[in-house]
Amino acid sequence: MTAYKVLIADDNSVDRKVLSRVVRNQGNEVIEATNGFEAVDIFTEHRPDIVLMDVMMPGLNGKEATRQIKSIANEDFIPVIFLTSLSDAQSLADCLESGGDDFLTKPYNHVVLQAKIDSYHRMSEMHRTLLNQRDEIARVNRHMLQEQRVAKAVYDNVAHAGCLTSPNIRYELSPLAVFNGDVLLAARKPGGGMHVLLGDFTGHGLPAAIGAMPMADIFYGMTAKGFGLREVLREINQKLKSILPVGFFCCAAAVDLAPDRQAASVWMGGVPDCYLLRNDGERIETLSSRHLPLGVMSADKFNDQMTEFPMANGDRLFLWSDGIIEARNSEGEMFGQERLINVVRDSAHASDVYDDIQRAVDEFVDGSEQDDDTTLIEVVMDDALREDKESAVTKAGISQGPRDWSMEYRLEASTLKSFNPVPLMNHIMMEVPGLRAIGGQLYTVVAELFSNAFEHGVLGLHSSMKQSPDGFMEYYRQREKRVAELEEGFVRINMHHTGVGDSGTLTLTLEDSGDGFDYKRHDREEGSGNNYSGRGIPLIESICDSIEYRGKGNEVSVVIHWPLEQAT
Amino acid sequence: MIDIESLNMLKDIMEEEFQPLIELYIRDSDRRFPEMRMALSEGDCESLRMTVHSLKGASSNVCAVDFAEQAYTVEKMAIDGALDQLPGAIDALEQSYQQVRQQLSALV
Repeated sequence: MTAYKVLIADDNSVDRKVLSRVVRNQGNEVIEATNGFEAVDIFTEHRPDIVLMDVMMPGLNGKEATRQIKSIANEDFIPVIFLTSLSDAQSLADCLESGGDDFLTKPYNHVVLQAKIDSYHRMSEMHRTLLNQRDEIARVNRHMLQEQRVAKAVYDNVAHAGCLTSPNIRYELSPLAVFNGDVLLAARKPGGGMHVLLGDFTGHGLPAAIGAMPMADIFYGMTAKGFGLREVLREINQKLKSILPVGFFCCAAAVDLAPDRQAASVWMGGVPDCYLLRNDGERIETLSSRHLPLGVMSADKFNDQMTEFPMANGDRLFLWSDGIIEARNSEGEMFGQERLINVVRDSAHASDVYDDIQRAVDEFVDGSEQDDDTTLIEVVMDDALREDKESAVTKAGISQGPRDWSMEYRLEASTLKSFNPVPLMNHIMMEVPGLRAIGGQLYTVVAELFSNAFEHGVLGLHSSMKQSPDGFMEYYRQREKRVAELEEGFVRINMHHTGVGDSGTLTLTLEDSGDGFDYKRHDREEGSGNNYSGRGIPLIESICDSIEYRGKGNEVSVVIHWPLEQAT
Repeated sequence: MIDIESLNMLKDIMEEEFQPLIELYIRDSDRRFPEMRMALSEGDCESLRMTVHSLKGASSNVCAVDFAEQAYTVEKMAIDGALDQLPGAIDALEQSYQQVRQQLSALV
């Protein structure tokens, strides 16, 4: 049996001796106190497990001594059992009220005495366990909050590379958004315009935040390198699909704002209907999700189809996660899509809508415990976005980055079958600050030249096939077949760059193993409509300073001077 | 006067401490009667009550059951402040105590 340390406080020496003997005989250690003051002193010094306390003692009586002992014990549970010859109900109740845990009436029953000591000892143990666990939980919680603060700081460093503070954007995002699963990203495109992405991850807390990290990284990284939003979404989808567990995904609305075209391309997957409001107040257009959320479909099944909406200056797009629609009032009722559309309809002007929505949701929720994930963003079409902020920056710090360099990259048949070198080529070019500003256009040029070299050169497909719908289908059937059967061939890419600081020249040369084509004939028939056998040359011409075909037409070299003389 | 059966049980429990316990009881109780009379002369019923309460508790421990009961009636008088009855009751209690003392002394 475990030896408990028992304090016996009784001024009556005969009583104390007898009780002490009984308790010791049961295997416990006993400390004796002859009055209340002594009991308090001995308790402080020896910290017994349990106290047997006579009620009536001269000087400091049992009840007062108990109060002091309980106060010294603080959080520790030290059971105090009153010893009393009183047997009326009120006297016994008084004992408990003064802070005692139980009473034992004289004369003592030895069996009951031991049972009580054991029982209270178990309770003390339980109490100790509880305190330890409470302290452990508090410690873990402190640790977790600390980790979240650090994670938030890291996340902010990634996410704040963007331009949410642009004058054409207003947004609302809970300060702890990184841990409620909502993500808001915005970045200026190198060639002007902007990419905006609103994401709502399934779940809350760290699982949601973890997904947001690579998402933000890909979004900002690829946008800065001039990738189109479709490629960005494709990459994010693939990344999320590979890192998130089954059942976790990210509902998202993504916008490619193109002031030069006065249009916005929108991709929506799994988010509630969003609205496009005209500056002239004419009508409300509803934008609906047409795709599955990001991270659901495998790369080959992912649909990156965007819907284009014309957008004049001052036209506004409103995007939100389901947080606003699901905001609850004190009765647990949801705000709902209907209230939302009514607020939008009732607004005096498109420019009031943002404030009106916020006010309506605040009034509706009215102090009831908010879920804190009412993410809302307003994106306004603004002609000022045309201006290429990036190039203004690069003009100042243009001397950084590689200046004079060249490289050659030769892809053999087995590589060409399944590998697209364009993003890598683009990546290399984007190391030059001056080229970053025209990343979008450069990407188009490289993609077009590579596609010509590979499809028309290596695979020997004729683009004239694509002129009828049937031929178009046939073209892609043939392409698939020839790629599968491909055994020989190559594409050689040569990149050469020279720079002097605030300007430079990039020469791109692509050679393929194909038969070439009669470019001299084209030169003679310029303007005939049959543009280099449909090799998409006019597109390239608009950007490049010169295009030169060589040999039998299987080698092409283009020269691009930057900065471009005028925005295209 | 003494519950012999219970006292034998106490003897078993206390073993070598039995004799010192009885001696302690007698020493304590001898002191209590002058204390009670002193308190009574000062009209201090609370002090009187404490003393007779202790005597009662100690006596029941040494199995002087009837005597403890008698002490309890005196304790109640002290609680009630029955100053007129107390002198006689204390005298009677002391006479009973002498019998208890004799019996216990014979045992050790």
